[in-house]
Amino acid sequence: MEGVSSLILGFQRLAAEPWLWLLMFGGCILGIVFGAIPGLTGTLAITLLLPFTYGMNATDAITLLIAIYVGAVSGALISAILLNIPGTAASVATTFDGSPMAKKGRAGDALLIGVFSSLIGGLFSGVCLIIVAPQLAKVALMFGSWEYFAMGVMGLCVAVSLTAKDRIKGLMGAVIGLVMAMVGMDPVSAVNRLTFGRWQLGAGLAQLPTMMGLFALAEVLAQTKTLREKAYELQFTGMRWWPRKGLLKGCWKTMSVGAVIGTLVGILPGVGASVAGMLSYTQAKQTAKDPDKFGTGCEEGIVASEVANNAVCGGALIPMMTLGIPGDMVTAILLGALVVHGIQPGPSLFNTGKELVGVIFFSYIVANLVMYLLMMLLMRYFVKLLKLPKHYLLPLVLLMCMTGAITANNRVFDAWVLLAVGVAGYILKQSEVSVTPMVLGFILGRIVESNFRTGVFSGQGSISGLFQSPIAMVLIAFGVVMMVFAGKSSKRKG
Amino acid sequence: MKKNLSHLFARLWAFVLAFALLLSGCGTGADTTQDAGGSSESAGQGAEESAEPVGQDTEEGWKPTTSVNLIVPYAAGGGTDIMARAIAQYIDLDGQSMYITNIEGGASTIGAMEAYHADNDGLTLLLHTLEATAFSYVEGTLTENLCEEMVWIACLVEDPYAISVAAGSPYESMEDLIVAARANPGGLRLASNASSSQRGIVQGTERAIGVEFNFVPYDGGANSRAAVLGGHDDLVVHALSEAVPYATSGDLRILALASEARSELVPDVPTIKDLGYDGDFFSASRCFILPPNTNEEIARYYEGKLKEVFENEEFQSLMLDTHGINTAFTDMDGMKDKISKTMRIAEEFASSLEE
Repeated sequence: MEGVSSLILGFQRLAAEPWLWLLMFGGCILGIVFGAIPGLTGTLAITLLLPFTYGMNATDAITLLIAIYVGAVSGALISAILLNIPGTAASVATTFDGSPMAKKGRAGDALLIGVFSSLIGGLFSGVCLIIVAPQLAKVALMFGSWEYFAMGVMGLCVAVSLTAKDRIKGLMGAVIGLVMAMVGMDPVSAVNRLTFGRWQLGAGLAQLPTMMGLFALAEVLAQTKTLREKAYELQFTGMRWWPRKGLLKGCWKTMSVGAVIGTLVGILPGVGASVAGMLSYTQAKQTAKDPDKFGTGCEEGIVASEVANNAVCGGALIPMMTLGIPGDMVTAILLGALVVHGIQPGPSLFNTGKELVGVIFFSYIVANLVMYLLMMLLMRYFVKLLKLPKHYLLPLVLLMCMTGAITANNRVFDAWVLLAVGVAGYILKQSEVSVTPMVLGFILGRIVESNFRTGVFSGQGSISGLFQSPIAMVLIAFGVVMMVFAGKSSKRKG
Repeated sequence: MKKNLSHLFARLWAFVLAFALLLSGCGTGADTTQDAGGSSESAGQGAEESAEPVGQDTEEGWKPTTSVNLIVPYAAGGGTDIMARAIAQYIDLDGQSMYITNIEGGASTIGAMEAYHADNDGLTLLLHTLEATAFSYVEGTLTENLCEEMVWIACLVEDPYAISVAAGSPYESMEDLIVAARANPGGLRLASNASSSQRGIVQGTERAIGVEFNFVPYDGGANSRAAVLGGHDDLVVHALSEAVPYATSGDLRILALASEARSELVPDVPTIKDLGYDGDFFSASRCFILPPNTNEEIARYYEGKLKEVFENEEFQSLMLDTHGINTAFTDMDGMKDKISKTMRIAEEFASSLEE
């Protein structure tokens, strides 16, 4: 119960300094705004604020950065539900059911479900972080290259199984994503591939412009067709602080499974919130009594995605604190922030930096609660977004995407990546090739490739290591079962 | 139907035009900075006005007028990044701040190339390992000879390479490991960063001892360390700074240093030379570098400022006690010898690969 005693230390620190609460609320609002605006991400918010945190002490800096982190991963659901454009890649799976629900006039319900699930996911992984962080860190160490490879392959299977309607086009999407992931220097021997002689492409297609191109730009272009149509009917039945009885009926199983999936994915570096959301969504769909209702605006779909993507945050903090390996982009920057303040993450952090560990624990839990409070307070304004005419809204989204793409790495080149990928994404979308498997192929391609090659090196040219790893075999079997099962259930109906 | 289509196209065009406008806006922004860089480049060949577009006060010499970008070609949290952030905290740039851009990928060549192509107005710097640039160049992964072309200001850190095993490993000492490696040539898995300089130190060590390991490359020191901690590989070769915190906590055992001399951080750990095996060893020298053809005045400005940071006792103790990094200062003139020595080792390494 060392975690709990650290938590108390953290509480004392926050109670002693009211200034920290201001940072907490400010950071959370900033995070929500950056998360909600497509093109701007939590990573960007944290990168922009990092220099200001140099002047602060470690406690202030960590509190602020964690509040932004939690706010951003939650804020993304707003635009996913209201605009069908995920604010960040974390909420991709939220669009599947969130947007249809909003179109039915239940935008308020959809938001409420999303925010509530985010809270549960965040709190669950927070509790895991406090109680079993050192034990969970061992899970991360159990994953060698073959296990990561299997994880990636499973993710790809899931992506394809999501497009059960047209398997071939799902596969096509995944392959296009894999090809996009190959651009740039290969991860092991640094040979240029598909760069067409441009050194700017040596690092590959940057993640933010590529994702925003596929999701935001392609969707904006698609929505230009319906510019003149009236915005959908809006039913916003007043404010509720808590989901009314019955709204989440039958969702509790999805919620608990999603929270576990999210936390586990968070622990594995580099996999990320978008994969967690999609894994959880697929799992919920496959095990549901009535899988057909998914995609039409059902509660469970939103729950599955949002609970998992928030649970990733707590999970990602675990390897960062215990092993010095960041779980995602934001924790990579958090790691840097710790280091700047003279704190070396790693096994000794829990002994030498007990108070700081407590601050991380406590501010993570509190940030989730503050996020819930703020989202509820601001809900009515979010819903008003829907009334804004699209010919104002869509160009604004574009502008934000461009700004985000350029700011992320200070390269104008990335704006061209955004444009090119967006136009390509639009054309594929019109040909009914879903962009979701493409994105997963793009994210997982590097993980699959570099770990496969490391595994082959390690086995001196043999892949037998894959078959000797029980974890890897279970993961791959799970992926294959999902794909086959999805195929069967769609045939049964067809 | 046709009408709908033409509507669609009209709208598409509207968007494209909007983008073009936006981009041209950004383009002009970029052009202005390029102008500044261009003029200092032309002036770099002699004229004094060179500093004017970027430096405010010409009488007192060059000074940055906006915040300075330090490119780190590795991910946040690694050894180079730790050092960059510590220096950004302590450096006094006459009221300007130093911010860090992590541009990782391509075994550190992408960030290096970004800096190589940056404007030489003194507002973009690169923090990179001398050995990494030399080895990547001779190996061909880096197409430009950054050692020759860029302006090397100073080196603040010399981080030797350590050979470590997990705490639960059967190898108690370097001798144990050598015996095991002799009995099983190429069988022991050696986890390491994928960079070519680390390949170089591994190969140098193998040649010195006369054994062979199975080299397993990872993307970054944290990942290769995790592979050994998790029992996936037998030993890891990494920077000493990446080993010390884990040795202190008892998770790793440092068997030997692949360096010329012992380190005061781990005085009990022998070097491979101490064990009687001679070879060409080198450390990871983290240096500050400016884009090609940068005015010497700018380089001297940073040299002075970096020297101040190095002499700051707080910085010294942060590096040594908190992060476990060896500090050592090499100034601009000293860099020339250091570069030529490293290039020689790297070229020998490359020619041995061809054999």
